[in-house]
Amino acid sequence: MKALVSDPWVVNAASAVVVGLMVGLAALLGFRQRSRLDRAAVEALATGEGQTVQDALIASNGSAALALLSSGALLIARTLADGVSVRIVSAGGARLQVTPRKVTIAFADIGFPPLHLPLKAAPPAWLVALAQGG
Amino acid sequence: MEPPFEIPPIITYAVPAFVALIIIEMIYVRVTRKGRYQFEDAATSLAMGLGNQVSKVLVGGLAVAAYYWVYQFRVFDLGWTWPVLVACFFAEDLAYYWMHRISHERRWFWASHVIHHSSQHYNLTTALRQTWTGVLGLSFIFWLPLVYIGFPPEMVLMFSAISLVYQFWIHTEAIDRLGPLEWVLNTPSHHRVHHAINPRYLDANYAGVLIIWDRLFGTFIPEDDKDQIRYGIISQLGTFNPFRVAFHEWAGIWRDVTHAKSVREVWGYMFGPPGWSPDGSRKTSASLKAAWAARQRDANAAAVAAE
Repeated sequence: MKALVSDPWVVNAASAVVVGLMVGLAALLGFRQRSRLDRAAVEALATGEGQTVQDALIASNGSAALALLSSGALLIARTLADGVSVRIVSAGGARLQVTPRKVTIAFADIGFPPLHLPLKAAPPAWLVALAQGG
Repeated sequence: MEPPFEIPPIITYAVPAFVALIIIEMIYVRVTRKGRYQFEDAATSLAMGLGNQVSKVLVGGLAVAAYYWVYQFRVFDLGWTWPVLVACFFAEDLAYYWMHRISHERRWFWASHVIHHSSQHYNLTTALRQTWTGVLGLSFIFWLPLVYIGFPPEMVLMFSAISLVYQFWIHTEAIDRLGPLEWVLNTPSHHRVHHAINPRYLDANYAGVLIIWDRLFGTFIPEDDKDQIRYGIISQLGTFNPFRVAFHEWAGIWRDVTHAKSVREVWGYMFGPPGWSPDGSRKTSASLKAAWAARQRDANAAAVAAE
C-alpha cells in the first residue's frame, strides 16, 4: 500500500477513476440544471451594466443571445450550464460573421469560444452593417 | 538537517477525506437545497485538480530544487524544534497570505490563480479547481525567504501541504458562521467573501489558515447576509473545456504583450493589476470598487434628499 501511494502516477490514475465516479454521482443526484436566456434576462443583463437593449437576437433554445445596446455596444451572452457568461464589446471588439442561417461571433479571448447563433429570419440591418464594419 | 520523523504524503492521505466530504456535501445540497452543484462545473473543477497534481509530478521538482538551492545560503540553522515548528507555521501562513494577495493584484500571478476562481459555483469541488501553471508561473518564490532565513525546506513543504488541506473544507455554502473562531481562523464565511465578485467584496480575505493577516493588513471584509454573493470572475468564462480554463489568461497576456506599443505597456500588461490597460478602458478591481462606492454615495445622497 505504501509503495502504491508513493508512486504519483498510480495515485493520479486512481484519482482519475474517482473523479469519474464523483461526476457520475453528481449527474445521478440530478445536478443537471440549465439556465435559459429570454428577452427579460437579456434586458436584466444590460440593466446591470447601466444600459438598455435596442434589439436582441435570442437562440430558440435560450442558450445564447446577441443584443445591440443603447450605447451602440454589443452584449453577447451564453449559458454555461446553470450559469450565464456575458461579454460587452464595442462594435469592433468581436469578429462578426453573418450568413442567412446564422451569426458567428468570435473573440480573441480563448476563455469565451466562438458563439454560433442560428437565425430564424433574415438578419437585422444593424447586424449586417456591423458585420460589414459599419 | 534531516527531519526527526518521516513526513507522510499529507495531500495524498487527505484525498479519501476530500472524496468523502464532497459526496456528503452533494447529498446535503440535494436534500436541503442549501448550496449549489452542477455536474459539468464539478467535472471541470475536478479535472483541473487532477491536472494540477499531474503538473506537480512533471515540474513540481523545480520548486523543491529552488528551496534547497536557496537553503544552502541560509542565515540561521534553525533545525527541527518545537519553537521552530510553531514559528514556521506562522511564517508559512504569512508567506501564503502575500503570495495569495499578489496573485490577485498582479496579472502574471493572477494568470495561474484565476483558474481557482473561475467557477460560478462555490462548493468543495471548487477547492480542487487548481492551476496547472503555478510552478512555471513562479508562485513558489514567495516561500523562498523562509528557507533563506533557515526554516528547513521539508518543514516549509509540510506546512504548505497542511495549509492546502485546511483550505479544502472552507469552500462550502453548507456551513454558516463559526462563532469566535471567525476572529482567528479563515472560515467558510470569510472565504465565500474572497470568492465573491460583488464589487464590495473584491480583493479581500486572502488568508490561508489564519484570518489575522487580513485583519492586520486591512484586507478583511466580513460577509454581509444582505448582499447575496455571486461567484466567479469579472469576465465569466464561457467554457468548461479544461485547457481553455487553464490557459485563457496566459493567452490574454500573450495577446496583449504582442500588441503592446511600448516597454511600459508590456510591463503593465504583465505585472499590472488584472484588467490594466494603457488607456484605463478595461475594468480593474479598483475601478469596479470605486464605481460601486460612487453608486452607493449617490444612492445615500438621494435617500437623504428624499427625507
